[in-house]
Amino acid sequence: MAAATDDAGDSNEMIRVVSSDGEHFEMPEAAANLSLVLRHMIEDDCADAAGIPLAVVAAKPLAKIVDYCTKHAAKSSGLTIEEAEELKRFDAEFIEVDTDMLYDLLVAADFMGVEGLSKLAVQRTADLIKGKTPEQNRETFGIVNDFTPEEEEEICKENEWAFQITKPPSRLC
Amino acid sequence: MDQRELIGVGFFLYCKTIFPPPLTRPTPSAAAGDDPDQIRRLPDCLLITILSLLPLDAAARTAALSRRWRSLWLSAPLRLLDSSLGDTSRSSSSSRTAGAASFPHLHELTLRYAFASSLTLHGLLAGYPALASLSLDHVFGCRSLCVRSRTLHSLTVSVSLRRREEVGEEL
Repeated sequence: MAAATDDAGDSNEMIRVVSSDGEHFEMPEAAANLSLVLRHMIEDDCADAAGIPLAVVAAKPLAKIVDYCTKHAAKSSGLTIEEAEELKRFDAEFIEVDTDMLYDLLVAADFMGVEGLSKLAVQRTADLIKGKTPEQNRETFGIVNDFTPEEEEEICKENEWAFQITKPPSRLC
Repeated sequence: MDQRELIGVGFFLYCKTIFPPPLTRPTPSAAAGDDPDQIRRLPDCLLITILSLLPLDAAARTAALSRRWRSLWLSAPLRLLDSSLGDTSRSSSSSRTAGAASFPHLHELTLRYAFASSLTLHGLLAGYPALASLSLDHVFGCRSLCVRSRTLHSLTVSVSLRRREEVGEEL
């Protein structure tokens, strides 16, 4: 209880969180408040010295999320143009991760209700898909093609317009 | 594609099908180390959100990825830019959309910053027989609109203060 109850507005208070694999992390209360789940836990006086357990978030993505929230909380209001640019650069570098970490972040940010990070990760995934052929996308995301050749042909016919805009269907399927 | 999107912004078609997004939840940390198909870990609702950010043709192409992906894009709110419809002329691509695209289950439609004649809009409404909600946000080129629909229960029209449009409504 001691960690974060007396003064809800005091952003110097440190909040402890525990990953699914038992690792402990600390972040300022203002950073934790960027997560809807953590904010509700703090409001309900559940943030104690033992830390808030996050049963579905492993240490690796949680470390990234703590970084993200700490950075964004420190720069939350009254940004100068330079600071806003710097935060944009931080985001761009932050999300340059391999696909495994990207999935972890997508699931964890969704679970923890960190809206800004959710948007960032969703946009990054969309950017990776965009402008690629299905074959290239299967390669990027390790998707197994479980269609029969007949089914594949049928899909190309069904959505012929989508395959025709850039290249002939044969190149895309 | 990106370049064309930038040049041709002007017609946004924001539509949502009535297919409810499947409510499968993630199987967190079920990551099998050897399995390359890790994107399987993501629940449908997240994949659908990702698909909703893609241009329509890119979203449709994901149908060819695997069986799971085949109909996912149909559940996503779709954003159509006239430039992504492969036509350089704004008015003709609007009519193209109205005439060519058929979404028999379309439930909700927003037209934003579009130029569409009343003829185009009427054609469009006729092509979407299940439409329940229609929003026209800064749609120009149509001085009056007569809507006849058995399914429509919500109609929103927003215009800029400088351009008044007359809207006749018959539900």
